Amino acid sequence: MSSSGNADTRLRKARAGASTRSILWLTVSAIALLVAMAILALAVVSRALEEARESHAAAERTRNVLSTVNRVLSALKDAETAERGFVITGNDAFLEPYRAARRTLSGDLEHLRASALDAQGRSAIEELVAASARQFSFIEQVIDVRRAKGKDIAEALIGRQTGRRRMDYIRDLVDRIRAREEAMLAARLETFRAQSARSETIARVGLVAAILFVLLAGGLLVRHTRSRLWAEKSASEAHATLEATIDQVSQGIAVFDEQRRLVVWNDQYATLRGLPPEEVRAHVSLADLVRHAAPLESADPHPNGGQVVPELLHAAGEFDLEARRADGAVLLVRGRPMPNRGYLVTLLDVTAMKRSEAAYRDQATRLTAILDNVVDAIVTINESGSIESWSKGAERLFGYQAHEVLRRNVKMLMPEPHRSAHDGYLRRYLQTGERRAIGHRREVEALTKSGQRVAVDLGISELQLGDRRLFIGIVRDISARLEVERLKAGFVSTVSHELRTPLTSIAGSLGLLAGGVAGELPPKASRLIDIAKLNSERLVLLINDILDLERAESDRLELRLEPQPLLPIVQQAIELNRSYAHNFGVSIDLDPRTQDAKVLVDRDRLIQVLTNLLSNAAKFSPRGGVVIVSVELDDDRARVSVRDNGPGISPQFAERIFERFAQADSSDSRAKGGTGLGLSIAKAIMQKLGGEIDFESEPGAGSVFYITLPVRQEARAYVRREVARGAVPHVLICEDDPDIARVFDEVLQSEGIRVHIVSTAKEARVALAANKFDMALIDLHLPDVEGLELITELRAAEATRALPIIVMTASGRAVASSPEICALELADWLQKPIDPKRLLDAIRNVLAQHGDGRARILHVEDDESLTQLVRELLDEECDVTSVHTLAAAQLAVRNREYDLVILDIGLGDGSGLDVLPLLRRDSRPAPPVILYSASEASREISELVEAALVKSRHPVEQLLESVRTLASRAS
Amino acid sequence: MARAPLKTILYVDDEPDIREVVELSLSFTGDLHVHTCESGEQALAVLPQIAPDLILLDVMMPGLDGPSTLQRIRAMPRFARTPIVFMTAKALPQEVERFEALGAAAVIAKPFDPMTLASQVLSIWEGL
Repeated sequence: MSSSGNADTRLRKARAGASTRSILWLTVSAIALLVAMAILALAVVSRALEEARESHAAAERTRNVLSTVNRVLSALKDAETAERGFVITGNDAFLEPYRAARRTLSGDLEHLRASALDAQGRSAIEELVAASARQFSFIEQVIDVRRAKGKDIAEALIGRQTGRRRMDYIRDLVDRIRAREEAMLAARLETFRAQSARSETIARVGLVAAILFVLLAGGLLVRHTRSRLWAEKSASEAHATLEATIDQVSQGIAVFDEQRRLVVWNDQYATLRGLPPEEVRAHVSLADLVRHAAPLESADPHPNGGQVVPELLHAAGEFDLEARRADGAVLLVRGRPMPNRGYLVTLLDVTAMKRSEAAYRDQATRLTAILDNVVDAIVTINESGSIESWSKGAERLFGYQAHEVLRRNVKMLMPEPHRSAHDGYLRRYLQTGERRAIGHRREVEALTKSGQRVAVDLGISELQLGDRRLFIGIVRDISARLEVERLKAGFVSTVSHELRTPLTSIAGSLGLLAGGVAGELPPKASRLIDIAKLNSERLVLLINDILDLERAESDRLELRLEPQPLLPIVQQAIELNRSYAHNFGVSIDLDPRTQDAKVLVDRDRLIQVLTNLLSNAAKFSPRGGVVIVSVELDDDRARVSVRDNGPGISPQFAERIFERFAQADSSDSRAKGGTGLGLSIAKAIMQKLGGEIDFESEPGAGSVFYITLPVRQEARAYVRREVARGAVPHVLICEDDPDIARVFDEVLQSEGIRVHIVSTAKEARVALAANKFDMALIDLHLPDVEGLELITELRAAEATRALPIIVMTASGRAVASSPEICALELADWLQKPIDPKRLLDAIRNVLAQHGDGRARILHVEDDESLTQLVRELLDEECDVTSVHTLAAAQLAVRNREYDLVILDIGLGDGSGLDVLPLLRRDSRPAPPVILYSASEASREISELVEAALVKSRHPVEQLLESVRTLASRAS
Repeated sequence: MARAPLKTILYVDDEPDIREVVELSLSFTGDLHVHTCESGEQALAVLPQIAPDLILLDVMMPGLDGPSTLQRIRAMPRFARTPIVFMTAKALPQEVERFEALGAAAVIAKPFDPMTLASQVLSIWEGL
């Protein structure tokens, strides 16, 4: 990885931006201040210089003026001296200084005049000039007088002393000028000094300020530099971390600057992009990079077609693309503009993912194709029972399209009673792991869209997907198979009948012959007759076994399942086989440690199975051997074992021992008898009984054949409701026709029932508010409001929510089944005109259910003579409510609780089994149910009920006995 | 039970061979008078003349089958209580129940053992 300094500038920039600006300002102002200070200092110095120069010039002038004044004074003195000498001597030579003075004097005076600075000075000078002029003119006069008049006069003139005075005056003037000039010079020097001092102060203050300022600026600069150095250091550390990080990333990363030149990248970028390493360097332009990169084709259709993807980078917008490199690799290319107007490109190699995705898709497609072509319906549900997948086979079988069933509860595919019970099955399985349907195939009924019940074979397996548990159901329509089986069964049955008919004659004739009907037979004939007789008997056995097996395997084995103790059955089987075993010199013993358990079985069929095991054990035991039978309990299963000490079973034979006509060797059937079907039949029967059959064997050391059966759990407990008994029933009748009301009144009074009659809903409300009633009879047609409206109102009120209500109506009963009316929980529905007997029955029923502590029994039976019989027989002990249709039964169980239900399956309007799910109410166990029907109940159904009795086999007395047993348990 | 000894039996079966075997078997081993008929209709016709102590009825016969014949016999006041035993090659448990529910005294499965048939019938007779 490489990078230029731009990156750290950027990295630092955001953090340092604000402080840089203030430092800049400080620096600029420091420099400006320094420049100002310099200018100021220059100004001060030049001003001082100027002052100095001026002072110097002023001093010079003053000196000039003073020397000029002195020269003037001395010239005047010289002229005077010269005058005096001339006067005295009259020698002209003495006049020479006078002439010289005269020559210089005028120039000096002019000079003086020019140097005058102000009016006062000028007037002093003018005065001096005038005085000088006057002196000269006097001297000249004196000279002239000397020359002209001689010495004395001249001396007189001089002696008048005017010249002296004049000279004094001049001297005074000169002194004045000199004093003045000196004062001026002094003042000027003083000014200069003062100014110099001020300039010095200014310069010092400025210097100090400048030094302070420079120090401040310097300090700030140092600080700034230090923070900058620190920032640079941390930036470079961050940069190093960033470098190391993006080098570790499996994605290719490239960052371009505003001009789309490469700034930061990692090796993966170059590799994924197929770039030669030398082409990837800082500041190389994107265009150059793309030129050298491996071409990428957009894998998905893109607005720009299959354009080379990186060209899109120029768009500088966001994009995410899947692109295919020339070598087939698939890259996920992502472009993102960055806040600094740079551009970030990342590349991710998703080839492997795409490949597995494609493989997965292929597999899924293949799987779907397989699933859809499977004839069986394949349905997946989740833990809550909702359908998650629906195969084509399911569409064909159930008639629902996938969208009609997905996410709906699978119970919609089941007829009652499984429909209502399914949630419970599923919940129980999830809670307890107790399996009923999972793991093995079984035959059930399915409900199609058109409402038809279809026989299906159902296999459920479980699938754990992550933390979800799914159940896969494979459902096969077996109605055709069942039809074939039915035909086959019919055929087998017919054939066996047809075979038995001639066999009856043959076996009978042979038996008679062998029995001597035709007199003594010659020995040879007798032996032949015996052979024929034995073989005809064997043929009969074979036909019987074939029939049994056929029935067992075609699921039409008649089972009379009853909960009963296992041990007596085992003992009976032993007794039945004792003499047979005795023929082989074998005894059968029951293990003394044997336990007992209650099982739900068909006694005869279980004996058939045990007989097979016992007879096999006897046949294959050595003479004098002992067959030991034991019953053991293991958790919820009972195991019956039959142990022999015969030759054992070879591993080869063990594999097919339960197959039809399986015999260890073909001579066995002759040597030992038997058809080779016994174990197949036993196995089929055990399956029907919900048990298993298997064996353990060691060749040479005997075998143990055993069967296992589920132990019947103790009968369900149920709650008995406490009901007050003994009170006189109080009934409210709401009927607007006074004649009908009067009839009711009489009928009920005669039965010892207290009656309160009202004729309107309004009165009914008043009566109900003021009294306590055990039930109400309400006419649906009332003068003020509709009866149903009144009932709805009563159901909504706390006090009358549970009040048993019987309605009377002139309209048809069909409406009673509407959900709205079911919700009203009507106790009964009487149609006018009302038969007083029917009325009394209805009221007794209701009062029986609500009135006392006797067991309440619901008898669902379409045979009215039977219900009447049962009611009469049980009247002393129980309150029996009889209903004759499924609809009435459903209404009855919705409205009331019963302690026991006697159920017939075949009802005029449906299957009594449809009542079962309704019995299960929230939080309360269902009452026990006794099935009393014409046909044998399947094992599944028998599991759901307390007892399953068959009318042809169990007379009413037996039913009553069961009822009494259960009812006594109830109360 | 104190009951008159069994003497006369009417056997109804459409199979002549079986009729013969049954007749032979019962008369040979049981000293019984056996009358045979080949159909339910014939049985109903001859019944008043024979007045058997017990009737053995084949179940599957053309025309009137065993059960129908039984009902007809039961409808004749004179024979309403005559014991009727079915003989059938289809002695399935539910069939046996059905016959017993119809009022049959017993069901004997075919093929039967000819040497014990008479004792079987006699024990049914005794058990009534």
